[in-house]
Amino acid sequence: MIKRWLCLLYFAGLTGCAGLSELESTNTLGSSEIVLTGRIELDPPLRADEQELHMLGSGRYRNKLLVVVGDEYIDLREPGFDALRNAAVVTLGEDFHIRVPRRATLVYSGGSILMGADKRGRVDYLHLPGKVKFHTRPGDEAIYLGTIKYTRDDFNGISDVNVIDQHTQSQQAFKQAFGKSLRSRKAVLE
Amino acid sequence: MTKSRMKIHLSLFFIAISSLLAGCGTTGYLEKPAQAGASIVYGYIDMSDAPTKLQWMNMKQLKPVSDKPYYGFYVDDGMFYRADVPHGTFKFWEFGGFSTLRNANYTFQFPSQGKGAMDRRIEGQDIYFAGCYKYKKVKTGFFSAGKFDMEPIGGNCEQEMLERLGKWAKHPEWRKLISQRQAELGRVAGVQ
Repeated sequence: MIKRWLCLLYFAGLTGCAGLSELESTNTLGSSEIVLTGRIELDPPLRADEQELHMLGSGRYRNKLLVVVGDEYIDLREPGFDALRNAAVVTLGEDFHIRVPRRATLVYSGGSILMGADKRGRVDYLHLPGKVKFHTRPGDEAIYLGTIKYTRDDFNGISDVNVIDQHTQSQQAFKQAFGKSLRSRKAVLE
Repeated sequence: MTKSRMKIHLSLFFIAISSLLAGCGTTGYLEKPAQAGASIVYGYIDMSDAPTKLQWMNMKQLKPVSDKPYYGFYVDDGMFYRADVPHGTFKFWEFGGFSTLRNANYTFQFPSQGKGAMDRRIEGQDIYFAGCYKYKKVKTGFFSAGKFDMEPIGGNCEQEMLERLGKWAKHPEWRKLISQRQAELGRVAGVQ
């Protein structure tokens, strides 16, 4: 029960303790950090009315998802403090640029979309599987994860996952958004 | 209305509510179909290991999109049933009841992602059996969310439920669906 409420609080933004944040400016990037770029797509995409977000503050998570990246794999079906510490909120279907602590090896644990949050405290998620490991090199400023496209069935089960390489477009979009490029490398996913 | 009569009415009302809460859910007859081509969905949960009896059950229509996606069920001693289910994709959503002993409402939530054993795609007018299950509590840590499992019950459960369901089916259209399924099961049993 406590875990559920932690997640609820997290999604509601009441704790204000999102462990990872989106990059706002390349000037603020520390030497102990690396930028993880990529995009998460859902096929078919969420309908406007599909997320039943009735709990106070939950509306801000419409078309958003929680992405978890850290030192080791975290099962998002049993999330704890580790998931909160290694999570960032990103927008579905748009490029993300997350600042993550620089580590030789990182693991993308997947994502969770808040599908429902009612006034009684029921919280429902659509979990997007991950458990993908990749390595960084000392000179890397950014790592490109790819466009991860999750195909779902009628019951919101994930029936297929494809990683699409859109590195060039992603780099161009990054330069447009931030005014400069970062030394970016495609992640080799394991 | 005089004060005394009002008191009697209120007392009767509270007795009725108490009986409902302490009892086994809300039963009801399957009356005239509200729409053509609709179906029956039914099943059974043995709640003897649960902290409450089964008093309510609902499922959610995932497709096609509806502004009223939740469908409630009648409940009769563990059997849940309803008619007038249109074509679409349905997911069993929640069930529960009130325990007078513990003075608490219990709500059990089915996982919201993926096709569960009970979930159905209603593709044509028919009678859809969600299955017979026994509620099993899964042990978790003190601070963890409560969990449960549904253990399938074998045997002649479907036939037994059809027998019981027949008593609630008033309209010939529903009775026909039930007897057709009973005949199918009879043929299968005959072959075996």
